Amino acid sequence: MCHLAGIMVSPDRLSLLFKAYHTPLVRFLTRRLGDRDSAEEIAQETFVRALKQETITSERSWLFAVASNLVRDEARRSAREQKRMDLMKVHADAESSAAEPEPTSMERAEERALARQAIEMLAERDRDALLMREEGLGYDEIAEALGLSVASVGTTLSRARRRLMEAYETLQAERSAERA
Amino acid sequence: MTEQPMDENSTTHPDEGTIHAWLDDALDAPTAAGIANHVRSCPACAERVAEARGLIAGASRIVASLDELPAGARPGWAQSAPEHAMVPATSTPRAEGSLWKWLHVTPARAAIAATILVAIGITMTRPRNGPDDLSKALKTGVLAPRTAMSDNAAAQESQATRETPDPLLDSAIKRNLAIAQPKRAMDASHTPGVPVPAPSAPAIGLSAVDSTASMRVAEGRRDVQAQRDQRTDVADKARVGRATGAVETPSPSQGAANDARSEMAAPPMARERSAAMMAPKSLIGVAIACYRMEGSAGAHWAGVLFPLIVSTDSSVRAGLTAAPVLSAAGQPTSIRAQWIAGRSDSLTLRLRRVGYSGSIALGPDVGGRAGTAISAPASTELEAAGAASAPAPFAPSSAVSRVTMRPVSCPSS
Repeated sequence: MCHLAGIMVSPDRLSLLFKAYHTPLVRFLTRRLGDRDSAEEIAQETFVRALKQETITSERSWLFAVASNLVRDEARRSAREQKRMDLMKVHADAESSAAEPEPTSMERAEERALARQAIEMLAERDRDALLMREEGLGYDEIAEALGLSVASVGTTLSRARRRLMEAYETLQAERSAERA
Repeated sequence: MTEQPMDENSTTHPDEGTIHAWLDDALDAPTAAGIANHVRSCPACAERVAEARGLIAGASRIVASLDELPAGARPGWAQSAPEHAMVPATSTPRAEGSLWKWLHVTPARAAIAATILVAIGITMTRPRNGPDDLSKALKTGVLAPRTAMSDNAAAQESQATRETPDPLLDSAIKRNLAIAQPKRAMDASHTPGVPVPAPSAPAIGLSAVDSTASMRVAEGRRDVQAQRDQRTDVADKARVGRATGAVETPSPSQGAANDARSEMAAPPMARERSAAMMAPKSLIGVAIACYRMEGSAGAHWAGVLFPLIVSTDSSVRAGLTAAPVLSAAGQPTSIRAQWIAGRSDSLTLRLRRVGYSGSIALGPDVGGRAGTAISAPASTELEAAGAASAPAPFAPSSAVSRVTMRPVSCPSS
């Protein structure tokens, strides 16, 4: 048997946390990273860290904050590893597009690619705030997770939403111009 | 953000951040009331509020389009966060109820409705060659129930009154009945031990349909209804079977019994497919390595008790690899898993079992690996809609346990 040191959160409590937040966290991370496998891996690591955590006061903001930090850590890793992940993503995209030849799936894939490009154009903090909000986090939770004041969350979100819409519309217009 | 509470007579225009916070229901009541009053009397601010609503909805739509799965396909339990964690999120479309779910519209029901609509439409619009008044119709039996005629009489009647074949109607019925009848053989591999009916004969002898359109539609409706009832029975049995078998004891005899039931119930093609998915690769001639996973006493992963044996091959380093999961005795289990090679020599096993979500994270190999197994029940919206009339009597439990993994020799069978 394995014994991990410093485990204070009971498995029962972690089980409840997992049940409540695993899917929203994976969805947040998938939207954030554009890669489901990396999202699953980081979500798993987040819950393992929760298992080692002595006390967690605000569970949801803690989990999203740790996940965001892990995403940032991930981004700092070697270019070689990043390249490997990109290759995996390309293969996955190629496989999924091959499996979805219908026009509707093509449209969805195209829309997803545009959305991915647009979301990548946001500043990191704006993007995190928006994606957390879309997962239902409250302003106080977003503020806690991102180290902002509650009063500035509205401004951050309004800026993120406006820029996202502008970026998306610009990309859409460019795509239409390319086709014309 | 505007910090001061606003009253009705306030001339302070809220900034954009405050408007978004107001629309997100993130302001305290006095401030929110002040903004509401101000917006009512300030056309410029009303315009900005409308714009902000558009931005919130548009951004939500863009973010939702990042998801690979279509809306409604994610696990149902994930949509209900704990009460203390729920925040009114006007910008979160997924938090709202689905109209389709509310209407209980399934693909089968939609197909049946489409069949009926097409048939009625054609019946109503095609030229009438037969009786055009009710008394004549009753005399010729066109509107009489089918039970009023013997089969012979009906056959003679339909032969005598046979009109030009109606390919449009026939193809519409064929197409929609095909949609309404899911491939039952596919389900056998996912629900071992659940009796699955053999593919039935076509519900309507389409090539021999000689009656009028309305009779064909009535007959089709009865048959489709019967098939729906039959499917409901099978689905109920599947749910009950899955729920009562939520915690499986990996005893060889029980595993063999389940296999036997599954084999008896499943058509040959489904059996082959199931065997190919569940068997370790060694059975199909690919060299593999096997690992024994130990958990604490009573620990289980997605309802299957440890110890478990998982297998892999060298391709795990290249990305994702399917990992058959066997019991300690080498019997197939209802779990499937997928290896994901992680950073720093770590590994993740992603759970693949209908009705569950979970994974196992394993640390670096230091003469064995140690990690954490997590699993929790999950039902899809489709399952939730189907189970609405007959909820499962037993809810499987979630589990977290520490596990170790060490290489072992692969089971011979």
